Amino acid sequence: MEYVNPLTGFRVDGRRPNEMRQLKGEIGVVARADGSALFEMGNTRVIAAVYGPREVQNKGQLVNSKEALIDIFVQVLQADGGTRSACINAATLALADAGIPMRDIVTSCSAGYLCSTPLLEDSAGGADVTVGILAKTDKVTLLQVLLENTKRLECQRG
Amino acid sequence: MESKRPPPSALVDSYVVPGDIILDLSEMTNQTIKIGAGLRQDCDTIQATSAGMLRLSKPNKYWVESSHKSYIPSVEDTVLGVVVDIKPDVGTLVYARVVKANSIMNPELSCMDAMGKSTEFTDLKGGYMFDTSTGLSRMLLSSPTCPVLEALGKKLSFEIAVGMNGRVWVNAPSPSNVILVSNAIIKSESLSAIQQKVMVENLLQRVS
Repeated sequence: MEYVNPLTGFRVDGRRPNEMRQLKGEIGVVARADGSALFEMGNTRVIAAVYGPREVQNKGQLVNSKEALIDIFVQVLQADGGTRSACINAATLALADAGIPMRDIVTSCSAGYLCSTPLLEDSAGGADVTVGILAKTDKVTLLQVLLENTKRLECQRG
Repeated sequence: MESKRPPPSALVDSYVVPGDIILDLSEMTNQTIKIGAGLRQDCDTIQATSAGMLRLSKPNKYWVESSHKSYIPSVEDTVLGVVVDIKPDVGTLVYARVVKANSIMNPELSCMDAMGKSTEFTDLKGGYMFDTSTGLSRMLLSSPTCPVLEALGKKLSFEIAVGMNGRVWVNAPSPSNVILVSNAIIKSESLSAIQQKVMVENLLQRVS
């Protein structure tokens, strides 16, 4: 069985290989936090909350003698693949909502590769790569390839 | 000597996000540009570091106007603060002016203006103080008077003090008026002028 239907060009969930899932983002969802965001990529839903900058209580937390602490809490509400990307996107939005000065926005997406076809937002049971990119300066901040539970898939040519 | 006015940035009065390039300095020679909150110079470009609306104050001052819960102290801002270091007044709420702001925490405040007079800076007794966003504070301080305050002022008597750090203090003869005014202000942040008037009318009708 082909992963991408040779007749229609669609995957099982009705997406073409280069199609992402539906994205949805909302900021200000956690009233108590300084900044927060809810981010959905298809059925994967993640909430991020940012607290800070605030004074460091525990001197052991000081890094390079900086005095301000920014806490970022990320909670996965629903996991349906691509959770790391959704977490990065949600955290970026939460930081922007909190007004913390940033050089750029970080965006993230993942993709898999099967039978010589790159598949956006799909691990297809094989290896998948997650990329984090600074949107405007066009630089890569995260490049991660995961190989979990690879199954032997046979590709039949008919 | 002829000096050419630099063209204003194309992004003025539109929303920007961190990373957006506001101005390309390599195109300009011998110009002075003043950058305010939310902007940063990176080699030859001026970039936004926070999300909000880009503003230009002629001839050459740019800044990003954004609304956040946390306030970044800036000298000469008027804020509502709570005294922490002058006994026996610890815990008093004061309307004061920022004189020193080195870091994010605890700026130095003064209850005197630059001339040494203390006419409008005072401690605020009674009433009720609540926290909102910096954007709502700016709206409450804008002139002409913002619609929610104008609508409330027509029917009720109250006094308010608005700090640019997002804090608002409300005082009125009766506690129910204090609550009414506070709730109306809190609800008005994302409403348009007409929506604010309608919201206040609905609130007043329910009470009287």
